[in-house]
Amino acid sequence: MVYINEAHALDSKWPMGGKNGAPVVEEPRTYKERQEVAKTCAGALDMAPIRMVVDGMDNKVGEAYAAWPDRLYLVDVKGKLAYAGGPGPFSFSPDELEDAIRVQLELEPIQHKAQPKR
Amino acid sequence: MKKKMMLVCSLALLSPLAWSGDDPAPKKAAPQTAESIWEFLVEKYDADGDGVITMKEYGKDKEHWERLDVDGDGKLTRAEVDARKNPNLRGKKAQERKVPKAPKAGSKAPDFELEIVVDVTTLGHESETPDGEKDKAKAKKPEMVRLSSFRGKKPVALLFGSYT
Repeated sequence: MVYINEAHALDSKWPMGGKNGAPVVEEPRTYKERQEVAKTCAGALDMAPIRMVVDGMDNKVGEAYAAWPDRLYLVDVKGKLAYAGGPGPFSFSPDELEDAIRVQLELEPIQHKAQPKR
Repeated sequence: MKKKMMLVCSLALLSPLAWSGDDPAPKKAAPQTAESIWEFLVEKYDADGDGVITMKEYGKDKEHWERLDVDGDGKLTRAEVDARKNPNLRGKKAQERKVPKAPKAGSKAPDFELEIVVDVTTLGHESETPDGEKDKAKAKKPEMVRLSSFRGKKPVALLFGSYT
C-alpha cells in the first residue's frame, strides 16, 4: 500500500470521522507526522503482511498516479500498467484488480459477488 | 473502506510488496477513536476547558485554522465544527480541486522510491529514553523500496489510500 495524503482529515476541505468508529485524523504537517499516521493506519487496519510505503510531503507519487483519495493499479513484470483503476471511492474496484492479478499470474478467472452500488 | 482494503490486501499478498518473513512488520498502533471531530479537537486543544478553542490554543498554521474557523471570529465552537460536515456549508473553494491526470493501462508505470513504514523511533529521529532524556536514536537507515526494482521479476499491486 502507498500511504498518501489523508482523504478526510478533520482540518481538510472534506472533514469526516468519529461516526461508527471511523478514525479522526489531523492532516500531517511533517513527514514524521505522516509516518506516524501511516503506522497507526497499518496497525488499525491490520495491514501486515502487506508492506506500506509513505509518499513524501510533496505528494509527488500520489499525484503521478492521480491517486487521491484512493486508487488501485497493477504493474506488470515489464513495468507497464496492466490495470489502472478509476478514482475512489466510487470507481475503486478490488474485483477488477483481482481479475487483473489473476491474468498476470495465469490463474483461472472467478465469478465475483455483485457489489452494492455506491 | 476497511472491508474493501482488506479484500485487496489479501490479493496483494501475491505481490512482491508483501512482507517477507525477515522484514519488520509495523507495530500495531492504537486507532484514533474520538467520537466526533469536535471531541478530538476539545481533547487536544481546549486547554482551559471552556468549550471554545481559540487560535492561540490551536497553535498551528493559519491555513488549517482558517479551514476550521469558518466564520473567521477567531474561535471554534462545536456548532461551527459540526457544520463543516455539511458540504453546502464548506464554501465554494471546498468543491474546487485540481485533478491530476491518471496514467492509463498500457503506459509505463511512473517510477518511485519511497520509505517503508517501520517504527519511527528507530529512524534516527529524536526519541525519549526510559530516563526521559532526549536522545538521538541509533541511526538506522530507512528501508526504501523502488518500484522499478521489481521489473523483470514480479507484478506489483499498488494500493493507494489513507487512514480516512
